[in-house]
Amino acid sequence: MAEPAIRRLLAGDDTSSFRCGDPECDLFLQRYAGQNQDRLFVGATYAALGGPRVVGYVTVAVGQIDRDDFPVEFQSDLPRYPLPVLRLARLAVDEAFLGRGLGRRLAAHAFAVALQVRAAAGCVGVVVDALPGLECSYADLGVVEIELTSGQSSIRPQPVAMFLPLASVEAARR
Amino acid sequence: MTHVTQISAQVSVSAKQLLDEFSAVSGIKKSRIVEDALWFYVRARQELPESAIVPVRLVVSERGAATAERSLAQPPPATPALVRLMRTLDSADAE
Repeated sequence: MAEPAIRRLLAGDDTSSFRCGDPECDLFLQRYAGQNQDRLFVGATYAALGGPRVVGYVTVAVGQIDRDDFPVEFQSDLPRYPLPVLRLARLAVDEAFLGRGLGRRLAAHAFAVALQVRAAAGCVGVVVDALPGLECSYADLGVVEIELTSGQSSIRPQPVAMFLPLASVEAARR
Repeated sequence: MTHVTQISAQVSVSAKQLLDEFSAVSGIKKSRIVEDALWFYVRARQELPESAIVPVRLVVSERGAATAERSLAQPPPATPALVRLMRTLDSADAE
């Protein structure tokens, strides 16, 4: 069977039968991913297509890392200005396609998008909202946990925020 | 004339700075910016459930800042798993 192709979600894509085991993730794809992307412009979703139907997706959005409100005595070389990042906010695979490496391909696609964003507008890294239990998979890729005081994902159970500098992704593609 | 009232809120230093700078550059009164921003925000929140919204601003703790700083100053070499992963991208995926 051919590997599902990955491309930007289109309005006519069949999302109706998508089942990843988390009804909230299914509902996000079926009801909100398209309008977030095409009407509100607050994110983009890339779909993996098994024939006409969506069998996996990854949603990304631009964001910024900010470090304000630190006590004066905390010395950091992190710039005072916000650092642009791409946030990998959601990634889900249809239950029928689990175990085929599709989730990893979707993550790789998101990392490649981040490289494009960096070239077009600036981006220092990817912040991954890793679902509890999947932190190890991302850690294997060099993604490290980053502690936030605000801006955490509102998905439940709450994901763990993790960071990967784009320099590492670029090095991996050489 | 529309009835008006007053609100007071504690916000971060950077949010206040953003308001001041935007008002100075655009010439729009701060009260107008706050009112418009509130309407936009609340309308957007009414259209989307909270879980469908991806927060744009990620504020890091001191420890989080140290992590980001380390990663950016001395990016870790690509792990073997990351190298393998990025090589799985075919040309269609990369577009």
